[in-house]
Amino acid sequence: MLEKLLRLVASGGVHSHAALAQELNVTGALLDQMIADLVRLGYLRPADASCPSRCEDCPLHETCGIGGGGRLWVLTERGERAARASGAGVSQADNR
Amino acid sequence: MKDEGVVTVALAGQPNVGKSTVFNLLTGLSQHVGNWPGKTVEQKSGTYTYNGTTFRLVDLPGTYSLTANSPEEVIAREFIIRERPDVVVVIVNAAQLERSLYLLAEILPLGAPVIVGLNMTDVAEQEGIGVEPAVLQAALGVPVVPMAASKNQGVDTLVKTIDVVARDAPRVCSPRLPEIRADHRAVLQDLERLIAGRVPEPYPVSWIALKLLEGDAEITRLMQERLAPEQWTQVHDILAKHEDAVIAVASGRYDWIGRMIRAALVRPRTGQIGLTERLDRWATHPIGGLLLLAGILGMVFWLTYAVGAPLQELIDTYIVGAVADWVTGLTAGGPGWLRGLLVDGVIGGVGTVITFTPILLIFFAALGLLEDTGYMARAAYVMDRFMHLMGLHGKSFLPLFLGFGCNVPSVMGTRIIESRRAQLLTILLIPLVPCTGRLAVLAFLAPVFFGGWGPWVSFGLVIGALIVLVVSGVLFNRFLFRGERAAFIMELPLYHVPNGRTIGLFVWRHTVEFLKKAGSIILVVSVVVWALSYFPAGDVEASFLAQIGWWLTPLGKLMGLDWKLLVALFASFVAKENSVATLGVLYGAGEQGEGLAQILSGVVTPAAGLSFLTVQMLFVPCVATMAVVRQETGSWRWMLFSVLFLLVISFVGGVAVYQVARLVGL
Repeated sequence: MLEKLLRLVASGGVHSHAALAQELNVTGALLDQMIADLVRLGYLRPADASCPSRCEDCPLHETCGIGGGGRLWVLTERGERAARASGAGVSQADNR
Repeated sequence: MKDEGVVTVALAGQPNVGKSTVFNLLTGLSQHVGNWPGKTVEQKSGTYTYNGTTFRLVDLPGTYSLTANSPEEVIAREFIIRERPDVVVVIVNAAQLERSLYLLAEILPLGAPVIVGLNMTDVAEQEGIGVEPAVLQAALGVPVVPMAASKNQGVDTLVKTIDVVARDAPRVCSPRLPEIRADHRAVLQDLERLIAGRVPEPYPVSWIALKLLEGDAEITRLMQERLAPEQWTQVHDILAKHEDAVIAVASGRYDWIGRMIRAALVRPRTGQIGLTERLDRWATHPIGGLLLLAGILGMVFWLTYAVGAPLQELIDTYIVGAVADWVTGLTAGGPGWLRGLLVDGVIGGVGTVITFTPILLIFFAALGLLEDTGYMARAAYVMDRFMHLMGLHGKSFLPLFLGFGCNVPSVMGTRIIESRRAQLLTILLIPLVPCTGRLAVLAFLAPVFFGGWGPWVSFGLVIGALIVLVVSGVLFNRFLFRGERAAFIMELPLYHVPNGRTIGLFVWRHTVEFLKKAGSIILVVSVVVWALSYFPAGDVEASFLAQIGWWLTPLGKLMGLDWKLLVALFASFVAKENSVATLGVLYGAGEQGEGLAQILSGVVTPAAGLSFLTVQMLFVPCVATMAVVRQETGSWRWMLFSVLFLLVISFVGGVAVYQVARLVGL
């Protein structure tokens, strides 16, 4: 399940939380838990972790809450590697 | 039972699931509080009697999982493994079952008989969440006791069930355990074979192997000490080769949790979360979402013309025009240049721009409303599909969208983009996002040239600018920058009822900023433009500005623009609204009570007007934007490239539009 989540995210672009939950056939709360685990393990990180300044100093602070409170996570390099590796594992299993 | 007459029951659960309430209800006053041996973590234990048997209840520390990340987690798992309680009662929160089941997924493989105390069923019911205990029990393979401990409900059943399980666990407990992901089963078995015989009692071999794959620090240390060096090397090699096995282990647990949830959880979609989901089916749909966004943009333009344009006319006639007449009267006996400066320069320039205020009020109110309701996040999400073509994702859409307000903070906002390539590409594209300055000019001039078709032309020009943005982005991405991808998860906020005060403050702040700009930069430029258009001879056609304009005439001819329109375009480099202020000065708006709109509609053809507006949309942005481009790129080269790129595409756009417009007879 986690590797499928990583593969979906690694396909690029922005994925909505709701669309991912639907694709994985899980509830939003379970997806939250999975994301929290992937953050803890270093496969995802909160996007604002790399912001260069405090919110108050940032010209985007009105919008970065994404309309008021949305959260954004980004795939780390470790996450991309794991997604690629699991994608290769899936194709091998399919070819057997 | 180990000790006849005394049954040891461990009480486990995550924090805030009501574990302490259950413990207190069962043990009452017979509690003993101390510390776990060798730890500073509090240990609570107590006893109760049922059916002639004494039950010793041990309250394990509340933990989210059984990793070795904290002393509490180590205490909880060590107690279950070493003390081998007769029963482990895992209290779960029925209102947050997904979260609670993760701990259960870790406890079940330890081999102790488990009962699930499905607590807070009253809270779940209030939130419209239904859990079917019988279904959950069948899926888990262990007894499930529904409870609302805060109301002392279900506790008697729990006591009875503990007694039954303690007496005959194998009959009532056949847990269905989570399994590691299929592609790692062989690896797990290899590890088990390597460590078998060296795993200290009473640790289960399979559990130790799983923890090694998860990279559990305590267990890794334990086995490194227990295994011979050559055995540990083999184990270490396997672990190094499968450093992402932790995903396979956790995935297995989540698959298991997902199955349990799908079987036993009924969650009706009501309330705010349900409304958000229903609306997002359209708002984030790949096609529907775009149509909705286009529709909303169209509605904003329509509102601008329906409400803003009449208000603008009223201000033009009854305020700006009236002030111009009054000043003309006041300066009647004075020098011509003074009247010219005040009426043609200041009132003709700044006054004309002030009439924008109703239009800007509507834009800002619309922007504020869309942000405050939470819709802007959906707009950004939907637009990402196009950004994918440009090799831009995630963080780039935030600054690009901010460009609709003003390009300056938009360019500064690209600092949040980590990739230098993505940042540069975003900065190059931001000037193509129509800012409120450009939109205000569009809103003012489109009805002048096109009458009732003004809103449609405006809408078309904005869409056209965005198409140019996407095409430019695709080309830049292909030829200038090697394509890179970034990947994001975005949680869209819930929709909420907009707050009038928040929107009001937003509109006020931005309107005041605009009026300040009108009173400063635009005033200065209007005076300068007036001076250049008056001197040396007091006749605009023989002025310094006209001479500059004549030099540009060959360029302007191809685009259908005379020298006054060209000068207005170049004046917009200081501030976009200056193009209208300059036209106001050059065409003598304010004189004889005639507004600029009236004058222009008589002297500029629709084809030329369309060309002017097209060039306006694609032209170099204001000097403040170019200054921050230089600042954020750290390079004059990129700033000049941006200027050159925009000059070229605005010229090409203007020529193309004018020639086609003439062909179709505009």
